[in-house]
Amino acid sequence: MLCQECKKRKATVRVSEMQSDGTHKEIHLCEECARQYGISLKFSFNEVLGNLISSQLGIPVKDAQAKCPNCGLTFEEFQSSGRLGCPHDYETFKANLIPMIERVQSGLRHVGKAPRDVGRIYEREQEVVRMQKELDSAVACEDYEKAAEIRDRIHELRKTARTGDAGESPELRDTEERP
Amino acid sequence: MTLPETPKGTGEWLRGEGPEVDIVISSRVRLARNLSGYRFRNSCDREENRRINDTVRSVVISANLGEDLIYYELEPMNMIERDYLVERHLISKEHAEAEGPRGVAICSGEALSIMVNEEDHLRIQYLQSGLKLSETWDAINRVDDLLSERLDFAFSPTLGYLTACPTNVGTAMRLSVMMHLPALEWTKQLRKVFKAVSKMNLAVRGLYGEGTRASGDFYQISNQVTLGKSEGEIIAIVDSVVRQIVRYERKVRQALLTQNRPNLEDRIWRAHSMLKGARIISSEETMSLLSSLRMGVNMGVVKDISIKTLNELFLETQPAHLQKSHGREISVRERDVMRASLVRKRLAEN
Ligand SMILES: [Zn+2]
Ligand SMILES: [Zn+2]
Repeated sequence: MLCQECKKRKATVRVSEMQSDGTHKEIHLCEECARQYGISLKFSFNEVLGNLISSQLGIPVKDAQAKCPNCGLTFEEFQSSGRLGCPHDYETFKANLIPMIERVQSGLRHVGKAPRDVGRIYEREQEVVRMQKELDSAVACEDYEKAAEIRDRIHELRKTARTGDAGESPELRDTEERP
Repeated sequence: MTLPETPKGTGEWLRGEGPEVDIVISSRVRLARNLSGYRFRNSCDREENRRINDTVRSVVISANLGEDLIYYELEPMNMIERDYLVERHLISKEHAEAEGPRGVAICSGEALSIMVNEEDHLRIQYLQSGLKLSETWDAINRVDDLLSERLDFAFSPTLGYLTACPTNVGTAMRLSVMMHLPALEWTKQLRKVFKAVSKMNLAVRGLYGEGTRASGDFYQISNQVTLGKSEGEIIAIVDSVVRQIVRYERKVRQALLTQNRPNLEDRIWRAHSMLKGARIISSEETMSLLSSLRMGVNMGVVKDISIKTLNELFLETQPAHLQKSHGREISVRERDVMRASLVRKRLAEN
C-alpha cells in the first residue's frame, strides 16, 4: 500500500484517529510523512493499549471475559476501547493491566503527589464497589424496591464524604446563566 | 447559552511574554482527576454524568479559584461556540464533540481551565506564555489542593491517581510545551529532533493535540511517562529537552542569517507581502505565512510588526473565531475572503 499523503513511498505507519461519532478512521502513511506531521510515540502508545495489546507487546491476555463487578466492563471491551470503566478496574484486571503499564511506564510505584486522607478515600471506594454489586444483583432479580434502596444508600455514602452530591439546587441553575 | 462578547486579543498564553518566548509559545500542565466512588465517564449513564457535572460545578464555583471564574455548560452550545473554545485551547476537540452533561470552568485570563466530564471527570489545565513549567506546576498544584479539600479523587496508594486511560495513571500529569520551529522545519532538521525526543520517551504533536498535524511549524512536546517519576522529575526532563531544542532552533536561525540570508529574507518578505496583499486565503496558508513572518520579526528582519499582533492573528483567523466575530455560520469560501481582509486590516494598523 502506498502512503496516502505523498503517494510515493510505501506506507508503514498506520494511524488510527477517533472520529466525532466514535468510529475510528485509519490513515496509512510512510515513515517520512508520519514524522513530518509530528506523529510519534503517542499513536503507537494508544494502539498498544487498544486492540493491539497482546500481539504488539507479546503479553498473553488472561481471561479476556473477566468482568468488573462495579461497572460491568470486560477486559475484551477495554481492549477495543482503550478506556477503563471505573477505578476498580485497576484491581479487577490487575493481571492483564500491570504488565502493560510496566512496559510503557517508568516503574509500577507512584512517587508523586498524593491527596491527604488517602486511607479514608480508599475505604469508601471499596464500600461503594460492594454496594454496586448488591445493586446489580437486585436489578438482575427485578427487585426494584431493594435496588432503589441501595441506590439511595450509595448516594448517601457519597454525600457524607466531602464529595457533596450537588443534586438540583436552584442556585446552581443560576450559575448556568452567568454571562 | 452564549459566550461573552468575543474578547479582544488573546488569552494569557498568547501574550507573547516570558522566557524563550520567541521559540516557546506556551507551557501547559494538565492534571486528570476522577471522583472517588463514581465510575469513569464512559461507563456512566446520562443521570450519573449530570450528577458529576453538577457536583464538580458547584465545587469549582465555590473553591475560590479565581475572581473571573465562569462555568460554561457545553451541551447547550452550538458547534461554533465549542470550536471557538477549542481554538483558544480551553477545551479539547474530544470534549467539544462529546455528548452528555459536561462543561468547562475558565478563569485567570484563560490561564486556568477545568474540563468536566471529558475522558476523566476533571481535566485541570494551566497554560502560560513562554517556557515556565515549574511556575505553571506551582499554579496548578495550588488549584488541585483547593479542589482536593472539597472533592475526593480516586487514588491508589501504589498506582497514584486513577484515570480512565491507563496511560495517564500515576501523577496523571501531562506537560505540553508548544514550540515554533520554522528554521528546523525549513532546513529539514525536525526528523532528527523528533527521533531524539522519542528516545527520551516524549511525544511530539501538532498544534491542536492528539491526532492533529502540525500546522504553521508549531509543535507540542509532551511527556509520556506518568508513573514511577514524580511531577518534579517529569518537569525537569521535559524542560531540559525543550531547552536543547530551543538552542538548536536558534543555532539554525543564526546559520541561516549568516550563510543563507537572501533565501531567508526572500521567504520572510514574500510572506509579508502575500499577507498584506491576499484577497482570498485559507487557514492553512495563513498559518504558514504568519509562521514565516513571526520568525522574521523574532530575527529582527521585519521591524514594523509586533509579536502580539501576530499571536492575535493566529487566533482570530481560525474558522470558529471568524464565524463567531461575524455572529453566524460562514461558508469556507466566504471565510477565506473575510480572513484575507482581516489580515490586511490588522497588518496595516501596525
Ligand atoms: Zn509519504
Ligand atoms: Zn469497573
